[in-house]
Amino acid sequence: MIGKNSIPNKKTGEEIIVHLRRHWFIFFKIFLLFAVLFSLPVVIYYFFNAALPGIYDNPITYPILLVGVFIYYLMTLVFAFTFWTTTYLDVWTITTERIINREQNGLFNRVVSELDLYRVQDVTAEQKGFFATIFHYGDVYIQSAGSKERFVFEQVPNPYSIAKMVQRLDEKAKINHAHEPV
Amino acid sequence: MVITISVFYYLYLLVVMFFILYGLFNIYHLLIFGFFSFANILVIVLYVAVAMIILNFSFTQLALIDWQQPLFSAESNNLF
Repeated sequence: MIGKNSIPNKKTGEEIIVHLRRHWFIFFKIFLLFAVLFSLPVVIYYFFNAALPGIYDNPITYPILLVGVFIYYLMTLVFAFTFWTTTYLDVWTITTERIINREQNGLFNRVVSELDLYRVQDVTAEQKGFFATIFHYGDVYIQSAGSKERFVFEQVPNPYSIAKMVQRLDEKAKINHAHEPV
Repeated sequence: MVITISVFYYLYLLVVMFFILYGLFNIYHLLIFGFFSFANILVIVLYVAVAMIILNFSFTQLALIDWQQPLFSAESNNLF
């Protein structure tokens, strides 16, 4: 496991300001979804019991149903775990020098990229949707000079404060790197 | 030729193999790329515990079933 002070290619004097993850409500939504999926077979059990009495006494259908239910539970559990892994491993780190983007796009696709703060050109924060507004989470878009791709902090808490913080750090970094071409 | 309901048992064993393999991939990712945090360790431990409970319960239940019941017989062409 990685220590919280560990960042790739740490520069001298570089300090970690914050590690960002998705808002807790996103993890709660995943939990809620899989809690519903886990309780579904119980509902189906009572439905079958009422609609097709004797189905659980049949020596052929009962084992098939039992295997089906166990397969369903195993698949639901492993997909919930995969969902958690891919969501939890998305981390955006802001340091005094740069922004480090660590994203897990599926189980076999991990992207690590970084952006020097003094190259930041534009920072946009967006809070869209009912729950995002209530729980104060949203996306922060960071556009860099010379790069077509944008950095996106997805569903992070307090996106406006984070955008302000990045702008402030960017101004400082620009002063420190005034002699370097952007 | 008689096909017994044991085909479903073998199918379940295949799914269990996939489940274990995929779960191990997930744990590997969390151990290598995840932060050393309480939440990370808790989720790994919880997952392993729930997986063990489901697997143990399922194999206990499936052991009670007579898997030699014929599902399909070529002679009679009777399904179930």
